Amino acid sequence: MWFECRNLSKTYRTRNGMIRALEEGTFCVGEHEFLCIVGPSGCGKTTLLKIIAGLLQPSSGEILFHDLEANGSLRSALVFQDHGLLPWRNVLDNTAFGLEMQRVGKAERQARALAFLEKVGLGPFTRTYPHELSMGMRQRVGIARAFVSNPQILLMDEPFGSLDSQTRQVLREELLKVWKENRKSVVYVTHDIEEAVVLGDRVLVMTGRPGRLRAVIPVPLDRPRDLAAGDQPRIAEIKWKIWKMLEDEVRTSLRISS
Amino acid sequence: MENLEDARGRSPDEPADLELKQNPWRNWRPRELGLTAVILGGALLAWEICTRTGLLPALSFPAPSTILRALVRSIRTGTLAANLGITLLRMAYGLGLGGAAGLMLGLLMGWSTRMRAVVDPLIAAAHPVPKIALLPLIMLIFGVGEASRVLVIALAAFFPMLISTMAGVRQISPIYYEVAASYGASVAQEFTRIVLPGSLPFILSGLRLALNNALLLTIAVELVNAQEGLGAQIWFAWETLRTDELYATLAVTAMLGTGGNYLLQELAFHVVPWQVERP
Repeated sequence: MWFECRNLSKTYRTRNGMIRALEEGTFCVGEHEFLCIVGPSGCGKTTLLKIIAGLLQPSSGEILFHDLEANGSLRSALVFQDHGLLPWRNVLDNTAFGLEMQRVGKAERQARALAFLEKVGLGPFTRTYPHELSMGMRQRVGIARAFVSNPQILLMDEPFGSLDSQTRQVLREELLKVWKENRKSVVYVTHDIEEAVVLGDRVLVMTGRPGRLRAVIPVPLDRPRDLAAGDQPRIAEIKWKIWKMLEDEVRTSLRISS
Repeated sequence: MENLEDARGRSPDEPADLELKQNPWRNWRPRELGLTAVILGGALLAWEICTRTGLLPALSFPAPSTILRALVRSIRTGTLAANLGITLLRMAYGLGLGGAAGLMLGLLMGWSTRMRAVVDPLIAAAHPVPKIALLPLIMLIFGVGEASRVLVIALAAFFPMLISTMAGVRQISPIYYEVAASYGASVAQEFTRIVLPGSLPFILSGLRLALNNALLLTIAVELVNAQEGLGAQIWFAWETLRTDELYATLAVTAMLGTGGNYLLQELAFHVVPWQVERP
């Protein structure tokens, strides 16, 4: 399964006129590819992700999905920035939500959700409600919900954005581990350049207002990419390259002269 | 902590909550409760003494012991049970009819912006009308009978239920609809999995307001126009100047309201376990 986005653009109508959120986005996401999208806040990353998820219609352009699996499984699942767990459902029912929407029987969806939760060590919390969990735990359940739904594309919108950096580090590793066992095409949106370089096969750099694709940077490094060991110089090099692309724009938007 | 866990009926092998929910009814502290009892008992004793020594007129303030005897008498003769039954039945009919109608319209109005735009002005205009004032008009249309009484009670339950339910649907964060849509929920699934559970806490508080309003209107209707029921019994006691019976019936009515609220609180505690309640 792979897909291409062709000339995607999105214009919002607001009280103060039209706002272009996204302009002329053309790129491909390959089979089982981990694509990271990085860019400053307000550059239309989330808009792009929601268009791929089918939650928003593009103003122009199209997305072509190729070699979709014929078994009718979910095309894409979105991991939300603030986990998006339903407060009235416990961890087990939240995790099984996607399967429930696909009309998978109760016994089967609970068994599948439970199996996944136990694998990632969330087994003891199946009956717990989201408000009783820490932010990091909630986002883990949000990710579990997406994986259990078995989508062909996994879309992630700054899933670790609101967590502290230590938690983020650990959860990134967990995400890569789970992804390795359940290979899917992933589109991962973040504003953290290092995170994009550590996770992605390629990094798509966006510049903002309206959001434009600036470049696609391949990250030819094996996983796991160890921040401490020999990968460090290569990671730093790619980070620097991406930062140079974004720096001017960030300064301009803040009106700081370089 | 321990008694809260016991109260929720959890077995020890279930994971402990990180943040325990608190049921205000179960959170009464015994020492403070004892003080309340002492104050109440003291007041009743003072009242008893004042009436017996003639400091208070026995006609307007019959002694608590006299009131208790009147209460026991009305229980023995069966008048209390009969009147209580009739009041409860009227209230149940009114609450059932008005509550169900308010719930359904409230869900629709919360969900559909267009529906809300059309109906909201009508609700805003009709809501402030004191429902008891409509009784003569309703009797003119539906006749002097049980139907008119139940209709007025139903109206009293309808509005709070409608308004709370509508607010409940509207406060659901748009993100939950996005979650449902991103996992491919149908319209029916969106309704049963997002709209209903998302508004349930508000629906329950609407039910409580509706219950209190229904009780208020049941007693009011019975005061002005009924031969049976607690309200009628109160009015009858006043007309015949049997003040002990008047007080006794008032006490029963008060207990009815408190009991109903208690039951709904218990219900809320069990059907919205995700809602953190703090006293």
